Amino acid sequence: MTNDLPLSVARYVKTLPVCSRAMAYLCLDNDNVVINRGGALEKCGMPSIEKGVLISEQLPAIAQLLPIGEKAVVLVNTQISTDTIIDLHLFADTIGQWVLIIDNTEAGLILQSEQQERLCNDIIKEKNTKNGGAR
Amino acid sequence: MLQKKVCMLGAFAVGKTSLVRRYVDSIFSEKYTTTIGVKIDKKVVNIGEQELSLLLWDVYGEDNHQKVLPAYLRGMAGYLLVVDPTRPNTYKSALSLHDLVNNTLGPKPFVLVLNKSDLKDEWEADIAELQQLANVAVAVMETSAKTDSGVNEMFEALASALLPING
Repeated sequence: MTNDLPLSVARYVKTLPVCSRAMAYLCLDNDNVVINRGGALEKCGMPSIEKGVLISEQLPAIAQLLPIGEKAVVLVNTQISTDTIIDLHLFADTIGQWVLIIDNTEAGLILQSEQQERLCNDIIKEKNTKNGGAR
Repeated sequence: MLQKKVCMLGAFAVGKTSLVRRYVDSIFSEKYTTTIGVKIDKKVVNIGEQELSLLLWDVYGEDNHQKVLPAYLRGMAGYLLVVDPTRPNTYKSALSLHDLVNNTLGPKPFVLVLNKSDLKDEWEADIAELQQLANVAVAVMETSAKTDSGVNEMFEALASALLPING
């Protein structure tokens, strides 16, 4: 997978423990126009991204995160539709502003199931404490 | 069209996702489904003659094991700070999330949302704990995602505060 990626993205990906997951990338210029895109865009829930168009017209949620500063911005478990969970990594270099999209649907659904069980138990404990305190 | 990022913030299970679902899709489910990370939705709202696109970031609720990370707030124009008055523990999260916003982005307009008004008989009396938040909020709204009470009004109150020259 990393062989198909632009050098900037491949270097960044090497720092992450995610190489087996589907990933896609966008590159934006300083005016936030998409100047390059590739990878598994469809699998990552972004099949129709076009070059030469402002990101705000295609993915307004990402436009709100720009401009990217010196530090990378990472947003894990971003649910963009009922069946797509992605991790977003935004970083900038001399070529442009990069948006790396990594599919996390499988692990995200497992995490959601675990969290659901934990929080349901917490709610029951809260109710028991409240009822006990009222006696 | 003007676009603004709005975050739903609050403790877990206060009804943030239910409020978004009610507002965007006009649906409600009694089943609690936890949010991991963030869910992003969009809704266009008309305030007077102005049209505003709200990008709704429904951020995971704070609990004993996880706090909201500042990265999720990036680019946020305003927020809905949701509490469940049947669970006084959720007030503490609201106060800490308000502090997180102020420390990360500086003051931003927010609506303080007292959700689950359909369960008002079970509300804990001491809402005074929230007075310091109420004093700096653009509005304090009572809502119920279940009955649809106050939901549109809550989003519109925040949207009005986000418009240039306040509409």
